[in-house]
Amino acid sequence: MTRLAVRLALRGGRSGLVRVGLIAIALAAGSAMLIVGSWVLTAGVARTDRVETRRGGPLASVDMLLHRAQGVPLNSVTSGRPFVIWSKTSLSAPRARTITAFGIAPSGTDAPRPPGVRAIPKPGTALASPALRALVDSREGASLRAALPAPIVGTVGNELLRDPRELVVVTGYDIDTLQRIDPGAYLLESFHPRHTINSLLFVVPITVLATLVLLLPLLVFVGSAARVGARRREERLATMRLIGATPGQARLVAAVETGIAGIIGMAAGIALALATRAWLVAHRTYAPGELPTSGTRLLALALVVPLLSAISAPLALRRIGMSPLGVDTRRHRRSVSPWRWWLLALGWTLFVAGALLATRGDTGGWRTSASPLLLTGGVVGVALGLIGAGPWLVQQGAQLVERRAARPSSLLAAARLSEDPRAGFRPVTVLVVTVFVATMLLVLIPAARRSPTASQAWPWTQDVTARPDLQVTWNPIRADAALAVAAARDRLARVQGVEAIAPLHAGTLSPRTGDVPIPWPGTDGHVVVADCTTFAALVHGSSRDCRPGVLTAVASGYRAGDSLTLGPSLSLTVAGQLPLLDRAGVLALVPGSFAPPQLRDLHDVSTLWLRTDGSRATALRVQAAILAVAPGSTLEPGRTLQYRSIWITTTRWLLYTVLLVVLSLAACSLAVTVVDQIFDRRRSLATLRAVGTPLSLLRRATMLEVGAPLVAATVLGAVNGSVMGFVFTRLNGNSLAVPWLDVLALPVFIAAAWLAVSAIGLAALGRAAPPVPLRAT
Amino acid sequence: MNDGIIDAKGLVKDFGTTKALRGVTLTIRGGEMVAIAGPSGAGKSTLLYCLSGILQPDWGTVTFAGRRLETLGEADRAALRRREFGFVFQFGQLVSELRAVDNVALPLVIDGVRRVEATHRALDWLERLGAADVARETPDELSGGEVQRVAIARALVTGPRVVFADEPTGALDSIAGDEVMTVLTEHARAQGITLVVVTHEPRVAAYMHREIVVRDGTVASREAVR
Amino acid sequence: MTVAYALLGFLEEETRHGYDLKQAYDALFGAGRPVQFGQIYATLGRLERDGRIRLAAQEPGQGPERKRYEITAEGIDELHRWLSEPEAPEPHLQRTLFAKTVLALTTGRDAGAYLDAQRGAHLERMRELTALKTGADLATALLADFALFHLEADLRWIEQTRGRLDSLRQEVTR
Repeated sequence: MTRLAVRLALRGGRSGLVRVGLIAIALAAGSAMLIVGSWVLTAGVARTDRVETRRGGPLASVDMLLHRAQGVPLNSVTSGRPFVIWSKTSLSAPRARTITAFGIAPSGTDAPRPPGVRAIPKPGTALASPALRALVDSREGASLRAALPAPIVGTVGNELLRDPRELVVVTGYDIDTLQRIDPGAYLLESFHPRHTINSLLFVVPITVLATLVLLLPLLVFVGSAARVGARRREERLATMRLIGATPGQARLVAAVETGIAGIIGMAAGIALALATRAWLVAHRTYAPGELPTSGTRLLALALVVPLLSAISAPLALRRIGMSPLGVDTRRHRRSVSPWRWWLLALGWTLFVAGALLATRGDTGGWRTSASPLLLTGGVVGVALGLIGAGPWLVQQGAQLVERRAARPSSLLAAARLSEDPRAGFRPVTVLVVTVFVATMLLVLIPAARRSPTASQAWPWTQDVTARPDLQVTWNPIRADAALAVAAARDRLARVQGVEAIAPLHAGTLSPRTGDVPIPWPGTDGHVVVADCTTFAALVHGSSRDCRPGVLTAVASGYRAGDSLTLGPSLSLTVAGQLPLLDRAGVLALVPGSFAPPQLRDLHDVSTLWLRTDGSRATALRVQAAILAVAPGSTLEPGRTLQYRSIWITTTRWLLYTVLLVVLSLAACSLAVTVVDQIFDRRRSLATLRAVGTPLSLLRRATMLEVGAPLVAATVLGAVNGSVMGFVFTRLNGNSLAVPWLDVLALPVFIAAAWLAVSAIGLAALGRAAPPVPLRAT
Repeated sequence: MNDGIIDAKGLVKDFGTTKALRGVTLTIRGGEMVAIAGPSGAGKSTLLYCLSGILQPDWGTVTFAGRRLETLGEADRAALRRREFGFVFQFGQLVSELRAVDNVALPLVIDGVRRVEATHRALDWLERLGAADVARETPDELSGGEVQRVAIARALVTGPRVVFADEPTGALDSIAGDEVMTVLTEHARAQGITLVVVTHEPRVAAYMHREIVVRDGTVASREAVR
Repeated sequence: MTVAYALLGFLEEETRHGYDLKQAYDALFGAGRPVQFGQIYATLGRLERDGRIRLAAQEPGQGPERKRYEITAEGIDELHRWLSEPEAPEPHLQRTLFAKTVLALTTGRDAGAYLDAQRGAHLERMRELTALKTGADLATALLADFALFHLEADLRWIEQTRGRLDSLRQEVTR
């Protein structure tokens, strides 16, 4: 029987080959996506860990300025244990790139070494990343050699780098020099990640979502591919059943066929993934070590999709009844039960429960774990619930239209949809889930490109990113920095294209300072104090009720309206909650006009943030202005000040790629299904044409028939997705910038896909249904 | 001298290497009821499709009420089929997802009649044909005879001048077949509609005024027009 | 009735003895029920009396079996008239229809035209019966149906024979 199935699959004529080919392509794409996706995810986690590690270990919050001011000997801080002084600044490189410049000063030969550094460079020498060495050796970067703090004598390993393209220099100093150059340098006893990514809260939900988003369309596509020409094949099988074959054997044939396609697809998928890997490595997007090619891992991942699809193909065929007397496409008017909403309701219940738990505060314990799990469960429940509820909605709508339709095309389309809403909705199943997840993520991950300091939120974390377009830094900090900054501000304010300027007062506010009695929540924290307009220039969404000169304080752990005492003579009302930066707080924004003595003493203005129109011309004008008024400063593209933004950027890139792939897959299965359904109904369509129905009318009907569920799916998915995304952002208490362009791009893409699919379907319509009554087959 | 509503001259139609029609010439007069008979594969249905403008003959001309069908485009022929002709096929060939009344109303709606009005006229025809009680059913739920009554209603509802029927009783037993033919001829006569029925059953042909026998793609015999 | 025309048909081919005629008749139409000599000779006598045939030769010896007959012009006319005229459609015609077809073939006439004419006659009768049925009470309609089904059976046979005329011609003119 199996051998017969193999023969039927391979020699089943053209439709059989088309089917195997389609399935194999889908599986190859799916396996490759899964493998590459897992690589990117693992590499992303590892990158975050590396970036965290080089930020310093547990003692990183010990503040050099403080110790210098108080004259505490460094040895006493570590009780005699070895340590390094570790500083991080940056330098400009050609093409608006940035060199991350680490300074390192060891306490002795037994001092801790950062990862990727085999020997701490001696004072006056430096190590560079391979990319930086290559740049310095090139003609373009030759001038950099003089700008680097010290001559390069060695290479740092990938363990220190975020990615292979990163430009990094690690310069050796003695302790006194480094402390003088960078008063903000850390004292470190070891290099450990300060934060690690909580896999339960972060990796698991992402993986679940990604798998859902990736695998579902694949399985649906495989299912619809398995159905191509199924009628003819099933007629053959029906003949087999007449002479005694069982329905199980008929399904076996389908499973074997998918299996063959699976083997081909799996091999092609691994090959495709390896090719992608080779390309990524060749372009130094990833280091080879970041994308492990262990055979078992690849095989295991590549097996997932074919295995699942071998199950899904016979399931798709289950709908086609195979009696010995022929194929019965089970086309009877069956009403869809309203009970189909229950899963959707369950999903929302879980989600609301999770949301309520989350708003009960971040006190830890079981709530911290249960809430994300409930939320994730809710998201998955709603996603699946939408699939269930879709047909019901389509049927209700179609019945309404069927009764009222004045135009024959809508009558035909509505009748067809209300007769079998499941068949009508099936092609857009993927779409409803994709749109749901995509809208949710789009609301959650605003595209920050055009909103300079949009606060970006990511579920399951409490971090926000502020990102200026340009950043001017005085390095090393000069004694007359304040004067230079004031001059630069005036000059820069006149540069065309610069929209806002904010000075950045770097320093630390810490309860341990003692002389700034700020009631910090927990053990550490930070405060942002800014002139309201300055603040508004930097943090999107904070500009409401804002008058120049009004002081605004934003602090983590406070709610709007709380009172915040900054000193004996100063207390402010908290305007909002902005959990900016990490919890070790080393930043304050202070308006130029406002300088409480305590803050002025502690914080030198060394950086200006600029918001610009984003054009390259503006950047060049700014550069020229800076060179004129503030020599010795560096101009950098705005740095995202939040490490998790790496995630957000990567994730957004990943999300858009995945979305594109998934939507294309969805469009493909939509096309396959539509064409197949047209061929299925060719007799009825041909008769309609024979009795004088114009082809254009049937075309319109087909477009409506495809389009109506498409609209339903888009609306359903988008409404649920955006509401959920919105609730998520509320949970984080963040203002949000919805990237309307991206959100709008979604329906545009869907409309385009609809037109394309309809065009294919309509081409098929003309061929499948000549205006001659077809005899019964 | 040709006073026919349909005149066919020298119709030739090939399907690949199969010669379906090899020169058919005939005249059908207005109000006449003509049976096209002959053995299977003789080209009866092809002849019907050529006469009704469903198929374009490879050679020869079909004139309907002075209009040469081969000079019309597909869209015009579709409009002609919709407005001037009615069709009844062997299995009714109703649109399976539409209810009986909507199936009947469909040609009117396609022609721009308001839905309410079309439904009203469809119900009227269903009642005249004794199928009013199945108006709300879908074709799956109907018996063969009911399907054909609905199909006849669909063919007649537009007030056509010619109704073409291709083996209208082919899927029915003799009692249902008799009923269907009685209904069909009765209403065709009452409306003065020309009826062209392809059949291989003599008892069906006996409902017609005249018989044209097709053998091997040519007219083998015809009875005098009376 | 049919026997007379069959004999005319045989005699149109050539002159024959009574004995030959019986053999020929039995071969084509006997179908296991040979015709009686008496009937042959009685028919011959009647045909001779009506001038359809005449004595061609009397061979030596006694008895009717020594007489050889030939067809007259009148006889040919009579045969032709019969063959070209469809039978009045009524049930149980098959023997006559068959005889006419075969005789038309053996005498080289157009059997197809005869069958078509017969088909027309049958259909006309069926039309009359169908018309009778409309508006009639059920008993009348069922009686009409009885006739219609038989006529339809005949017509199916006619159509069947029509489709196989060439083979039949080869068989009977061997």
